[in-house]
Amino acid sequence: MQPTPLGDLALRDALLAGDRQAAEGFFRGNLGALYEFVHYRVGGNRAVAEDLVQDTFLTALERLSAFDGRSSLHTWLCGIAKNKIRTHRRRQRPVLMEDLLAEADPEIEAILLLVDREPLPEAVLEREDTKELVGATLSSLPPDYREALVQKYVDELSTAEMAARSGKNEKAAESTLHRARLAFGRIFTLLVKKRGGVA
Amino acid sequence: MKGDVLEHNVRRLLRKSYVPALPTPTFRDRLEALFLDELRRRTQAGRRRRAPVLRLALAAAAAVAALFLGWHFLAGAPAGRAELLARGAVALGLPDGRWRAASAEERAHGVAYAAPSLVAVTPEQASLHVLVADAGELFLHERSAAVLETRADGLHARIEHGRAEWLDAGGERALVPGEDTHLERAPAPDAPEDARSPAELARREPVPELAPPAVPEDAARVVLGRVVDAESGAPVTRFTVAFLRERVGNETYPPERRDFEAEDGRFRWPDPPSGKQRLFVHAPDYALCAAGELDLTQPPGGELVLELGRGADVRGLVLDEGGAPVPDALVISENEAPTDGLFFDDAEKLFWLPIQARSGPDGRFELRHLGPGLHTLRATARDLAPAWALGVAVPATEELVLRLGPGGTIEGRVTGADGGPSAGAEIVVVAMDQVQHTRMNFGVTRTDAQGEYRFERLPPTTMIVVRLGSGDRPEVVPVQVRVGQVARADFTDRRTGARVHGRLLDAAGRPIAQQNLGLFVKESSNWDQDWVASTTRDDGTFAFEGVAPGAYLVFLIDEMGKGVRCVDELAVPPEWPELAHDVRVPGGALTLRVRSAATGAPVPAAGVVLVHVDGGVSFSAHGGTDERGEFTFRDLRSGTYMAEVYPTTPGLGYRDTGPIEVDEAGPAPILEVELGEGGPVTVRVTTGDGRPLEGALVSFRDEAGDEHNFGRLPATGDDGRYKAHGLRAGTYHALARLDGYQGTPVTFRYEPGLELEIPLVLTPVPPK
Repeated sequence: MQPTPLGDLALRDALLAGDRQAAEGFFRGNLGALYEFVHYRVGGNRAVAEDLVQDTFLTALERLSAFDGRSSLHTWLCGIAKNKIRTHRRRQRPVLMEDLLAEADPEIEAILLLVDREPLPEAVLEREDTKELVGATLSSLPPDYREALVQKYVDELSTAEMAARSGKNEKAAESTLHRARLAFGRIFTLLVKKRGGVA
Repeated sequence: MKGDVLEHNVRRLLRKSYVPALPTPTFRDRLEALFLDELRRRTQAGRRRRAPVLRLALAAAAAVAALFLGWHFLAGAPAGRAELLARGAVALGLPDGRWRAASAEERAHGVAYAAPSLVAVTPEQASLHVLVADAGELFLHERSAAVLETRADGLHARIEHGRAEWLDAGGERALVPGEDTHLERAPAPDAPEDARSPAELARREPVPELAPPAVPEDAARVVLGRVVDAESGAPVTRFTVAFLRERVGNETYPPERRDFEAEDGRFRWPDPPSGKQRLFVHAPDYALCAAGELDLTQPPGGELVLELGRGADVRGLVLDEGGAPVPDALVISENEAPTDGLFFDDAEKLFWLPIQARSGPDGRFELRHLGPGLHTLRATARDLAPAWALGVAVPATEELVLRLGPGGTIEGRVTGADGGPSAGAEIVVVAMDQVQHTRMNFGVTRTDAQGEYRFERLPPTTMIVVRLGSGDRPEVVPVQVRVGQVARADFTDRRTGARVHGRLLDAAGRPIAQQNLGLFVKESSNWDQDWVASTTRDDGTFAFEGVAPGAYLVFLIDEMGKGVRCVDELAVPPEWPELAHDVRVPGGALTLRVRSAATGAPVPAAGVVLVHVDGGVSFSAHGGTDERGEFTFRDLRSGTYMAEVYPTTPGLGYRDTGPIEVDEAGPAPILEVELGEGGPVTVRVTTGDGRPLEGALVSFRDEAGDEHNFGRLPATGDDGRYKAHGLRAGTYHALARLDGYQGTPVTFRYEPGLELEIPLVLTPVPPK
């Protein structure tokens, strides 16, 4: 996600004023994370995820004037998306993570619970349900944590490069990464325990 | 060590197990286009709501006036069959005894029959199709009346007078006036097939599956829904569902509503009203849920899930002008009123106002369960004029104060062609500052035996008074209401001016229906007074009554003045009783591209005014630049124009363009306008004793003597201040105008970068 040049309230005002550049930035900056957030909460159903992401963006426009800055715009968007997902689940029996993981091997579960204590066996990393869990975990993190982890471990940026991208100093970037790892570990463990309670 | 393991595992999980869930490029591009389009639509709609019209604010009133062609039906005493027919409307009698006019859509495409009965009456030059689902249709000729009724044995029709034909799968047959005709027999599911007559069987044979049920409740015409608590998802067990019909043209209707009780929160509304409907749901202790628009011309989809939130509260105080508490005042949020309009008083008697509060003996009120966002609150109380609080943010932290004053009065007399009193004439008064409100505020009355009418306790603002005449053309008079004073608006059928009539045609010569038109005195310096309004019929015809001799400009006016452009002009010679004049909408266009001279960046949200400069200067049209700094004027006549551009972007100054030719037959010219340096100036208008004056209109005259308005409605706020954006360096005279006041312009010099507040004093005009 690109850093937002405007604060969230300023961004809201720019959107309300019809600022196209701000709108493009808002849309492009949030689409990926929001899509992933929804994707893992509707059982990876692409058609449903697309519908709900679209509904979320349009509802956000409708209610934009009610955004009061008490949370980040991303959190607020995710809140709208959660309501959409809840409504969708009421209408149609959803495919939960619970279902996806129903076949998970209890031994695998025990191993995954040790994510902050023991190195994970290679075989576990290859499993589809592990991939689902990683995606679901990332999609539950605040955007800056998610971004830090992806930059560090997927894009393989150095801490200095991460700092330059986020406009922070290196120490702050390292600190964000540290907190992101802890949060990842906690949410990952929580999801494994709950076996699908991702919403 | 624990941290190292976590770091190691997170690294491996992300590298080996992370497969990003990405939106497809097609979806991303489509949604981005949709999102940006929706944003633009909303922004433009918002600007239209917030931004009244420069100079032609009164032109908007013409459209407002025409609105009452439709309001008529719900205002005051219900319109009767004869009255509707006299106005050229098709009258529809509903099962509950009320009458309504068929909409333009129903007149064009047919009215849907709904059991148990319908009476349809056509006037001259109007016919009607009545569509009976799955059975057939009745065609009613002009000046005819039919009664359709569903009885135990099926559908019957009786033609009261005139002519009608019934058309179904068996063919077409004329119905005999005065005779009861059995159109469709109700099926008897348990009866053997051969129990029906051979004739009936023969007639049914081609489409046997279309036989209507005894009670025609078409499964495809059922709205199903479930109402749940937004937070917990638990069902809401007692609630009201309402459908408010889409506003079509100038017509609007009260909502249809039903109460439901269900343990599982489910409701079922068979045979809902047809057409596009806005859906509302309300339950005690919840905010009103405005669930958006449903297109009930299509079969409703699956079960709707409607989530009710608790909303937030606003507390406040209702005081009179002396600061004393006003008990028992009705306080509502206009935003939470499922209607397009509200009476000035007694609104609760006719409109459904589920969210409302009453002030206590100490004047305090608590308006509960308002949805989040900005609200327009309105307070009304016995013997006082209504008052509003605009832009109230919910949830509100501070106590709100609404002050109710005594208001002013409008009265008048209606006389007939013989000069005698016209009793029972329907008179409507509408507040002109509608753009500040989310609902139309209005009053309705009828003249007494002496032909007189009177509205008291009106809020002090510009009003238009509309007389709904014997035809379908309203007569409109603008009036300024002042506190403690009586303004007058008389109407007469004794015409002293000409009747100007004709057809409005598009470039291809096709009639344009339901279009609001305004006729303005060409050389007028008083746009508030010198105009009349009309609305075209379905065949494109219009008529202006009582037009004085002189030269006029013809404007097309979209709803609430959101688009105003001059399309023609005409002259009424002295002593001509009637002038036939067709108006053809011209095809010329002109695009302005506005940029900053310093940076080259496009300038959005700049006001643009177009003036026609052939043989004198006259206002032609207005608009505002989009995000690309562009605006295109359309429907222009060939000729020479000049544009004035008023930026709202900080740091830029206004600019007048040079003359530019528009040729309907040629390509649309594009005019590049570069804006130089400029900035804002604030004017503060007070009375002689230092009290701020709200609502004064502020303008600036430059050294060349040209007058500039730096906004569509350049009026002072409640602190007496108005901030004009976009002055460029120079010497100006600041002027302020307010009815009933006078003052002297103040001269000042402006240089970009200066922060100026110009004091202006207006004093009351002494009584004559």
